[in-house]
Formats: sequence, structure tokens, C-alpha cells
Amino acid sequence: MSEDADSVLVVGGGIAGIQAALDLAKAGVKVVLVEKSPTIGGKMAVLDKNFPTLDCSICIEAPKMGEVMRSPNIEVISLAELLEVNGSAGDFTVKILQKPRFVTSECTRCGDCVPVCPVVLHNEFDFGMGARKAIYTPIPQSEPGAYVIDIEHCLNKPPNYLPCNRCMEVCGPKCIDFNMKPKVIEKKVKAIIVATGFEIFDPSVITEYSYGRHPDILTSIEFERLINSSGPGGGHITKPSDGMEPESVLFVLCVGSRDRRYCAYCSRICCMLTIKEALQTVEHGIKHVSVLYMDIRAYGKGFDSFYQRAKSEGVEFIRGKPGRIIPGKDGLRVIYEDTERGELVQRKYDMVVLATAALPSRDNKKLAEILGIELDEYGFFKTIPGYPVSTGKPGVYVCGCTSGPKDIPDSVQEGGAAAAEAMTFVKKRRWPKEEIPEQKEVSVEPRVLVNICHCGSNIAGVADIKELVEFARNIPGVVYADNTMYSCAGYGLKKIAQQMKEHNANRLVIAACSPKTHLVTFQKSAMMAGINPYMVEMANIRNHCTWVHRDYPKEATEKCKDMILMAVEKAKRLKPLMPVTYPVTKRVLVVGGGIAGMSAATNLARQGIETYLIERENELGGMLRFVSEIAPEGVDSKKILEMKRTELEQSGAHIMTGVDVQMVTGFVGNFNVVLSNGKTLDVGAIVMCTGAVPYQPKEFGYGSNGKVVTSLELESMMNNNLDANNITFVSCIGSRTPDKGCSRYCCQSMLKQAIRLAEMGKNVTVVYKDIRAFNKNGEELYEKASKLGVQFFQYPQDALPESVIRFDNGLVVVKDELQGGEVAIPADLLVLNVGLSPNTTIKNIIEQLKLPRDMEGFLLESHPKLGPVDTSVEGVYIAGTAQGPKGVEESVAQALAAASKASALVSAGSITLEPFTARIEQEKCIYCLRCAEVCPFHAIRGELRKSTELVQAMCHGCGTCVAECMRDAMNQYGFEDEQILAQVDAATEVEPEKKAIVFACNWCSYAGADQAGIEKLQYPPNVRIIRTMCSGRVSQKFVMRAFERGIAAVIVTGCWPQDCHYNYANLNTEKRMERWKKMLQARGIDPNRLQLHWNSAAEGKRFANKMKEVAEFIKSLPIDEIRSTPQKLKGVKAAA
Amino acid sequence: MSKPILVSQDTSTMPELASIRQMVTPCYQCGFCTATCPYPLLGHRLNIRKFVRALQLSMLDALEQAWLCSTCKLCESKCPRGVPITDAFVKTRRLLALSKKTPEKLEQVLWNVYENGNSWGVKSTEKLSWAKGLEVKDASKGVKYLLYVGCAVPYDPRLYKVARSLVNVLGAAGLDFGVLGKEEKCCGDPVYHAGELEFFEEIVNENAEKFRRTGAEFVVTISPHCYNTFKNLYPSYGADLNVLHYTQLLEQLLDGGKIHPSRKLDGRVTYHDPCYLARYDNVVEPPRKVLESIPGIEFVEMRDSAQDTLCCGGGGGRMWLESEGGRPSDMRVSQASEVEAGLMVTSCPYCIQNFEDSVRRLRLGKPLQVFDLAELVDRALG
Repeated sequence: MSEDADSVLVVGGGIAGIQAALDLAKAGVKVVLVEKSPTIGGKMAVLDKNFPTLDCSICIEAPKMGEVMRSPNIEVISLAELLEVNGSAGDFTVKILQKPRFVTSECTRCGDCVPVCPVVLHNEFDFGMGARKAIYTPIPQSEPGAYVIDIEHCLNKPPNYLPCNRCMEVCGPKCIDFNMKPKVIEKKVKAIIVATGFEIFDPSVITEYSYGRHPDILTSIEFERLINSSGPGGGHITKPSDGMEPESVLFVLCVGSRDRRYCAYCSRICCMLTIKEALQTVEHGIKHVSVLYMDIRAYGKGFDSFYQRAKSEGVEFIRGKPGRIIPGKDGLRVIYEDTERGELVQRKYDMVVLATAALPSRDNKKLAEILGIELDEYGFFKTIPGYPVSTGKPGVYVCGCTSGPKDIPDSVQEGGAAAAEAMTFVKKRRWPKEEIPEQKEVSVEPRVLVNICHCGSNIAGVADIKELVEFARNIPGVVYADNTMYSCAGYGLKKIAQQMKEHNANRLVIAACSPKTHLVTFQKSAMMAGINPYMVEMANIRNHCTWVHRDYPKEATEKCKDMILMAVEKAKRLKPLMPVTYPVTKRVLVVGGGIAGMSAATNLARQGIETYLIERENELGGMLRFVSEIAPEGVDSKKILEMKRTELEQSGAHIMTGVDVQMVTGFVGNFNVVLSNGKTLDVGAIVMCTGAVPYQPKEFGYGSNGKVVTSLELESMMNNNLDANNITFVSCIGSRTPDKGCSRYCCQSMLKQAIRLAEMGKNVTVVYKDIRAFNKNGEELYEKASKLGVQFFQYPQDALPESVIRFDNGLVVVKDELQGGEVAIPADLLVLNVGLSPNTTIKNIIEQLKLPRDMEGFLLESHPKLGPVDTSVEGVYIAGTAQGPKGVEESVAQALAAASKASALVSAGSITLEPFTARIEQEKCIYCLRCAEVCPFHAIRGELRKSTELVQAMCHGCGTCVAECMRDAMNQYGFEDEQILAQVDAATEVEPEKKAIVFACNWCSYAGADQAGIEKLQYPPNVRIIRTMCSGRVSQKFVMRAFERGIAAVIVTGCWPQDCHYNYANLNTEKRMERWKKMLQARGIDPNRLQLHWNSAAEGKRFANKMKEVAEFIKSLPIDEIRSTPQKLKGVKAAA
Repeated sequence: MSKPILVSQDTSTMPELASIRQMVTPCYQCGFCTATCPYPLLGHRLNIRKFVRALQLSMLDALEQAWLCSTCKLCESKCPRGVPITDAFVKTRRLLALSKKTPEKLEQVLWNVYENGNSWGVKSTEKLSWAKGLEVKDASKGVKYLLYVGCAVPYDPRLYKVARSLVNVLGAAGLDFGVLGKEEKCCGDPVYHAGELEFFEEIVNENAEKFRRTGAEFVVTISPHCYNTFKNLYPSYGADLNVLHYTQLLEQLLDGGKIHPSRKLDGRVTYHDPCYLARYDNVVEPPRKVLESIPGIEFVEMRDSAQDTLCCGGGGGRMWLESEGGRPSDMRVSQASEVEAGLMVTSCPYCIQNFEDSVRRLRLGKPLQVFDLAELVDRALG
């Protein structure tokens, strides 16, 4: 009898809270996730795309939300708030109030209740840009998925003398329950994580901007909803006033931020969000797009080049702040001063977007009282310098925007960091698993049970269910077929299991909705019947058929038949699979003993994990040893280092200084490390905290001119005796060049130094590009420096410092952009504010581990938004300046986040992976290593013409290697060649000359097709979709087989290249497509019959439009072209 | 190519400049001030941000813009870094005055005050010309309320009516009030704004003594400028007065049931907030309350009302200075006309003078009359 694991409470289900919950759950900790609203997902769920990757926001968040819901270690309590906390770290008792949802979890999301609800309201999840009913789902991807009733606006709100009950009457599975009552839930938890996020400033108080007085003046978040494909404009940029496309759009930065009247702090996220929105606007074909800014704070990895891209694509950036926005009949008149030209400008725009400040959540005050923790002067939660997620109260941690505005990767990092800190209070960890039945007997003969779901009228209202059941029963191999009103409801699942037993079925086909949302549910049915869950296949006849072909019931029924046949044919060829489990060594190696490495190692050791920290130098502390104060907090770095060192020593971590890594071999969970002192270590995970090095300047005669020093040298000069009186800083030395980004830490440390000098009575001048004081207290530091008389001179963002700044005869000469003329500043000392460069001395270990680097040479994270500490090498995590320049707080947060990942990996003692991996059939392999070349995860190794080996633990299951193999020597579990070919054959059984086959990847384009269904976007019914995990799995043989079978067109679809879930595996798809098109052309076949189409999960409209286009294309094809194809293809490999 | 300007932080030789510079160091040069100020829009050479930049860099040559500001405080009230811009302008004027760079017209005003105690040069004997035929108590005989008429009323016959109306209303309320008549001396507003602080101090002392001798508990002003001078500037020279702007007094009388505007007037009425009332002292509710008590009128707000009000162009000595660009009062009158008001009510003599001037020249589609609040109340009392 296993005891329950210890619990941790996470308050807030935005991306930071989600990350904390997932990290904890993976590390075997039970999580109680309390969310105020009806769905988790937070603000990220309503953004359109993310910067700088232009990832579709919900597409990359939704899988995480789904993971939260599926995790047996996480209990999500939505519509809830924290009432009371008692006890102390390691022993808290918390009370949670959960409000009723009035819809049970039996809800199938059919949506039938919505049209009958008579109450129309603004949808707050759409930021007022769309409407909802009193019964609704906040976003299409809501988790928990059940709909919710807004009782305040519902006509059944007690006392309901005349109940409306319309939704109850129409609800098929009868899951609406007005008798639900609020309840108080009590939980025992070891630690508490607060991730309640932020709110958005209401700009209507800035009267001069006329927000609220004209519909075409929007906030950034409203604009996000506007351009979102599920938003009111259907993905088009249209003016809310008249639905027309604007000709000109102005974006205004710092609306409410950096403004003493409202929020004195910098809101940090708005510069990049705005640049992204401006770029999207240009890409939508809008001619005049301007941004009014004060400083462009593009501080993160890849941000500066994204800014450059926006500029080069035509976004106009103007330094200024509008004085007035005046709505008129013919547009919005904006008055601003172009401060670099010193000109007052009056200009008309069709639309204005205000980048509004991020505010502390209203609930913070109450929450702080309940938790007994402090708020800062603005109402964000206070944290301890050097401990970015610690509140000062043991066992209570904060993360994400709760403690100040932050972008997604920083929030994700802090979510992980808070999880890591919470784990130090956890004693009992458990990994509950569902028992997966070993297939009792895989009979030679496949026996398929088919169940067809009505989904109320969603399917049955269009397709002829009786005809479908009849059809299914006649497919060879089908032992029984039946239909159910709601197959996924509890009674439906039981019925299916019962029938499987009755008919001795060993395979199950469900013709209903999307496997993306419901496969897991139906796998349970199979398991109830003692059948392996991987023997279940779904035909998505709702999202991909009845929802999108409403007006063609006959054709839709025919399409359903094809889809059922395809599913049955695949199901017949399914093989039982088991998730794969590998042992993991319960030991972690942290490489590098700077502030990041020390923090990571301390945390891991405190969690009770055997941890080794190695530092090449003889002393711990890294770069921070050379800095006296940490900016912007202004705390003594010596003290922090001393504290961290003591904590590390007390944590029980093994510390080795003067030691380097000589060699690393192995893979996730099982690395072998040889150290320079001759010792060897077996570790399950490696955390790379190998730091960066200061840029070595050549500028301004550094090295030969004694009056030119670096900012690091100034540190020690300030501590000793500094005889200079007039000191000038030049910023961005070794940063922000055409091939280097912002070094992120330097502006704030420069301000700190400038303040210290000014306080010493020195005359201080700063020559800068932008003041990027984005951190908490950063803007305040800037203001303080100004108040102390530090003078600021701007030089052009695109210029190299030496091309515009001269230093001779004790004078710095530069053009003052703000006043027009050249100025000469007396200077006895020129301080070069140097950036950070990648550490090049770790080449060996990087090569041995096959760790990829970014364009600048820093270690590359697996995903810039959601995987900031992971790498493409499983089991290796990165933190601190090794990953990219950053300050102390961010380095520590990242280190803790990396520790959290490492802990989750090693503490379980084993890892379990989905079984959809590739495999090599050695008897056919000729060891050409083509597969190894395309593997995005270096999971295949070998020697040319001698051997190949696939490390299953490293395989992520994209299948791109399988498609690359010319010898049929590879295959993929769950997506076998034989299975997919059977689907192709089934799809081409009837009238193939009228059809197209669409290959769709699990993550984006398949989800995009689902989305088209959710939005009920109609398109012609002549496409047949085949799902693979990645478009990289699509092999030549699938395509050629389809053509040979007489198909009119084949469309290969996938994620946009930057959204690929397998590390750019889909770039292989792109290359192959070119090759196949050439093959077709060489044989006299119209190559346009094979098309590549990128489609994100949110782009339902884009998918539907493509399908329409394909239908038109097919109509235009001469029938001879199609009929002659099989003949022409004779002899093509794999077509036979 | 011109030589680079030497920027030195060493201002030890110019302590006055150093103290002004200290006021503007927090400025981060966003340019909001320039864009919100009506003057640059009207083609004036004023660029507030550049002026502040010149102060930051101690560039003396660029400071003469200081005379172009009407001290309306719009920019300052919205400055994201909270820079006391208006004060910086006024302090700079003193710097310029000390080097004898005061514009000639303003010098004449100073002489007017010096010689006649009236900025418009109205002689003592003419100071009661507005009150012809009215019985107004001589305050020197002792009153509870001292009605301080100001320099503009005796100068401009249009404004006679304002003062006479107010006297009627106060009389109807049975208030114990009086005026100083030929003894009344300029409050010193233009003197202060011309940077002549020593002279200003002399005026403060003289006026304070005069007021004290009347035994009045309250000084009631017609002009918001006098109100500001007494309320906000006098105390730092040791003169603490109980000052009311007359709109505040009217509100008190209304609340106390002392006046009953009962005669129905009609028309669409808008109210222009004088900068010195709305922005300097946050007096925006009293005039509205009084207006709304008048039966029959249809009240409508203009754009940019209350604390967001736009300047008529009369403050900070601008009343006496020539303009090279357009008139701010034209902008304001057009805004009143935009909301189709037939009556534009305000409560400042400068505003009335400027708006009437604009109305005469602009030829608006719909006739627009400019009234003082006191005039309207007087009518409504019937």
C-alpha cells in the first residue's frame, strides 16, 4: 500500500503556475492547482503569437494545459480562491473556496447549449473583442474542458421564479446542474507557490489618448484578440468601427508605464509585444505602420534581431510620445514630437494601439495578508535579492508576473524555480501510474469494434448514422458496429467496454471527434475491456467532416465512410505497445560554480539528491566576484556570494574546485563523466552553468590609452582610489552589433555605477543607444541617476560606437540627437560598458554532448518560450549566462528551474516515454547514416557502412528518420508504413480522382483542421486527412502510393517551420517536397498536384481556405492528367 | 561645421542656473510636453522639450523661449517624470531678467504696476469706474469679505459687467463685503512671472498690510490669477490669507441657501475651466455646481475640460506679449463651437477678453456668446 505523496499548493494557472505544477508533478509531488477563472492558461492563452519566434501562443501552451489535466499528480481546482492558510513551511493547512461551475465534467463540449442561451455578454477572455453567452467556454482550448455558467448573468440565477432552463433542455448528456453549491476544500501542503499573474492598465484614465471614445483605439491585448484567427476579425486586421482594413496603424509604447502618474516602473513586455504586433501588421499587408517609443527595450535573446527585422520589413520607429490622440470623422489625429528631429508632427492614423502597462493583480493585497508575505510599493510581491522566487517566508514562493512584469520564458523559468524551492520541503514522492494491461492475446485475426458517436446533433444532424453503422458492419475485420449518443460520456465508455468484451474485440475504432482531445478517454474504454490502449484508432468525423460540411449531408456521409474505413484499416494493423521505461542514475552533475551553478547545486542537494558541483577555477563565485553591487537591487555581491557559499556547503553537495570535465559519454539518465582529476562520475542529469566571458574591447584605443577602461575595471577602481573627476560611460561595447544582441545586464549595472560615482561627487555622463532598464527597480534606477545629475546622450541604435563618438584631448565629442548639435563633454576617464561573449573554453564538453549553440555561440535552449532551460539533448539543462547574457536574479531563477528539471528526471529513478519511437530493422540497414543526419535529437549514432544504433531514450518520435531511409530499414511504432499505406489505400478506394489526401502533423496542422471545425468554417468535402506526429514522417512511398492509386492531389501540411515540435524536423519535409515535385515533373505529372502547406493550430480559417483552394484546383485538373498518372509512375521506388 | 558645444556639469559660477537645472534633471526627453502644448501646434517657436534639454545642458542661448510659455501647466500636469516644467520656465525668466533680457512689453507692465499699482496702467482715480451708479461698500471701513477686483476689470469696459454682476449677486445674498477702490493694488502676478522677485515681495507686504487693515476674514478674487498669487505665492513671503475665488464663494452661498437662481434661462451652455483654477488649484466642481443650479440651461462639456483644460493664452504675462503664431483662444472657441454651445461660460477676465476677441474674428457657424459665470447667475436671480 503506497502512501500518498506530499502536496504543494500552486495558486494561479497561467503559464508560470502551469510550469511549476508540471515540474512538481513530474518530480513525484502532488499538486493542488487553484485557478480563479474557469480555465487554466492565463494571459498566454489569449495572445495571438509570441515574440520573437512568432509561435502561435495557444498552440504551444495548449499541450502543456492538456498535460496538467492528464497528470495523475495534479488536481486542478478551477473557479476557486485561497481562503485561509495555517501552519508553517512543511506543514501548511490551506482552505480553498470553489465556486460551482453548474456543468459537470461529463460535458462533451458539443456546444449545443450555446445557441439556445438567450443572454449575450462581452467575453472578458476576448478582452471585450468578442461576445459570449451566459453558458460558455472561455477559450476553445479551455481546461478543464467543461462549459461553465456565469450564474450572475444566467436567467436561472436564484431566486429563479421563471427558470429559463433552455440549456438544460438541449444538453444531451444531461450535465447541467443548477444545484451545485460552493464548497470549501481543505488541503495539507508542504509549500505554497503563488503565480497569480498580472492585470492590464486601463488607459481611459489617460484622457488625452481618448481610449474608450473611439472604437479604433485599442490596447495591445485587444489587438491580440483582433488579429487572432479565432478573434472577431477572423485573423484579418480590421477596424472595429467599420470592419474595413486600416491603411495606417500606430503603436504607442509606455502607456501608463514609466510614468510617475500611473506606474513608475517599466512593464518590460510591451516593447517586444508591440514590435511583434507591428511586424504582424506589416505582414498583413498594411502599408503604414509606426511605433512611437522612448527606448526600445529588446533585451532578450534574439530580440534585437527581431527588432531589426521589423525595421527592415517596413515598420517605422519614431522616438516620441504622443501628446494627444484626437478622434475625428476621418480617422485619428495624433500629435507627437519626433524628438530626434525636434519636429512637432500631426498625423492621421486609421487605428491606434496602446501598449498598456502591466499592473499587479488586484487580489495581491488579500493574498499577501492570507499568506503573511509582503508587497512592494506598487503591489507586486516582494522577493529577496539574489533569491528571485523567495518571499522571505519559508515555504512560500512567488513566480511569474506576480512579483513584477515578465515575459513568457522568464515566467516559465520562475515557475520551475519556485517548484524547485518547494521540492526542498517534500519528503514523499510518488508517481502513480495506471495499470496498462498487457495485451492478453493478440489474436492473429484482427477483431475490430466500431462505435459511432452522434455527439448530440453535431454529427447525427448531418451524417446518416444508420447508414454509417451499416457500412461499418460490412467492413471485413469488423466484428461489431454500434452508435451512441455521446460515446465519451461515462455511460458511453462503459457500453463500449462491455461490447468489446461481448464481441471479443481486440481493436477499437471510435468515429467521433478529435483524437487530440479524446483519444486518452477512449483508450480508457479499451483498458476496461483488458485491451492495450494503443489498439484504439479514431475517425474524426465531427471536426473534420460534419462540422465543416454542414450543407452537404450526402457527401459528408460518404466522407465519414471513407474516414471509418481508413481508421479500421489502420486499426487492423495496430500492434500493442507499452510505454518504454529506462533506469536513471539518481545523481546530478552541475558544471560551473558561479552564482547559477551554486544555486542549482544547493537546491538539488537540499532536495536530497546526490549532487556534484565542479568548478574549473580554484574558487567559487564566477563573474560576480568582480562586481561589488548587484543592479538594480543594489545589494552587496560579496554578501550574497558568501551566503550562497555557506548554503552550498551546508546543503551536502559535493564541491570540487580546480576540476574540469574531460569527457562525457552516455545519454539521458545515464551519463558517464571523466573529470580532470581522474575521477569518473555516473550521473543521470547534467546542469550546464558554464557562464560567459566579458567582451574584450578594442574600441577607443583600449589597452593603449590609460584613460579608457572597462566597466569591470571601473568596479575595482571605485573600490580603491579613483582620481578622475569627469567620467563618461559608453554603452553597448561588444553588444548590439549586426551579429550580437543585447547583453541585458549592462544598462542596469552601468546606472548603478553612475549613481555611485555621482554620489561620490563626480561629474558623470552616459552615452547610450537605449536605456534598457527593464528589470524590477530598473526604471527607478534610471530616474535616480538622472536626479543625481547624470547626463544622458543618445547615439544612433544602428551605429558602431566609434563611428559616432570621438574621444581625444580629454573630450568626448558626440552628436546630441535630442538637441541637434554636436557636444563636447570633458572626460578624464572613458568607461566602456562591455557586454558578454560566449564561453569558448567549454568546446569539448559541448561537442561530446552534441549541445547546439545559438547564432552568437551561447548554448541553445530547446524552445525560446517554453523550454528556456532544456536543450535538445535530454537530460542536459542549461542556466545562467551560458545560455545567454543576463543578470544575477535571472541567472538564479534559471538555475533553480534547471534544478527542478534535473530533479524531476532523476528522482523517479526511471523515465517513461511514449512508445511512438523509431526503430531500425538491422537486417535491411546498409549503415548509410542518412537517418542519423536528419535526426533532430542525435538519437541515432553509428559508423558509416559498419553500424547504426538508435538510442530509444533519446528518440522523440517525429519519424523523420523513417521517411529518410531509402532501404525500408526503419519504421515507427504507432505510425508504421504499413498502417499509413493502408489508410492511403482506404482513402483512394472510391473516386480517388475527385479527392485529395492531406497529411497533417499532430501538433499544428491537424489541430488547425480541428480548429476549422470548431469555428464551423465550411469547405468542400473531398479531402481525407491522415495524421502523423510530424510532417517529417511523410515518406515518398505514401505520396507516390496515393498518386499511383489515382488521387487528384496530395497536400503535406505541418507546423510553420519555427513552430515545429521536433526541433525543425519539418525543414526536412520542405527539402523532400522539392525533390518529389521534381520527380513528378520529370515524369510529366503536374507537380502542383503535390503541395506543401504550413498551418498553425490556431489557423482554422487558413486551413479551410486551403481546402477550398485545393477543391478548386482539383476541378481545374484535366481528368487525363489524373488517369495517366499510375502509368507514368511505374518504376518509381516505393510506388509499387 | 559649427564647433561642438562644450557641456560642462560645473555650474559653480552660476548657482541660479544650477538650481533650475536640478529641477529638470529627471526629464527623459520623451517630448510629451511639446506635443501636448497648444503653442507649437499654433506655429509658435516654443519647443518645451528642447527648452528643458537646453537647461539640462546649461545652454544659455536657447533659454529665451521662456517668455513664450503661458504657464498653463498642462505639460507639467501630465509629465511622466513629474518635472516642474512651469516653475523651470518662471525661474529661467528671473535668470533672463537679471541680465536685462525682459521683453519690452513686459517691462512696460512692470512700470505700470510700479507707477499706478495696475498692470494695465489704470490710474487710481479710474479704478472705480466700473462701479458707476452702484453702491459698493468701501472696505477700509471694515468688512467680512474683501472683494478684490484686480487690474483687468477697471481697464476693460467689457469686464465692468462682470464685476457689477458679482456685486449684485453678493448683495442679493446679503453678504458683508466691500472693495478697496482706488487703494487696490496689483496682486503682483505679472511681476512674479517677469521674474522680479524683489519687487514682488514689496507688493506682497504692502497688500497684506492693506488687507489686514480692512479686518476682512476673506479675500474674494474675480481673477483666478490673483487667486493663485494670494493663495500659493504669498504664503512663502509670510502672508497667509483666507482666499476664495468667487466661484467657490458662489458655491457656498448656493449651498447655504443664500442665493436662489430661479429665473429660467435657456440655451446650450459649456464651461471653460481657467487653467489657474482647474490645474493650479483643482477648482472644477464649484463653477459646475453653480451652473447646474440655473434652471433651463442645457449643460454640455467640451473636449479637454476640467484638469485637461486648454489655455486661452492669457497667463504668465502672455496677455501683454505679442504672438507670432496663432491664438490658443481660437482653438478653445472652436472646441466650444464643436459641441454646438450657444454660450461659453468661464470665470476669468483674461479668458473672457481672449475668447470674445476670437469669437469676433472667427465667424463661427452658430453664434457663440462669452459670459462670465457671475453674469449668468446675476441674470438667473432675476
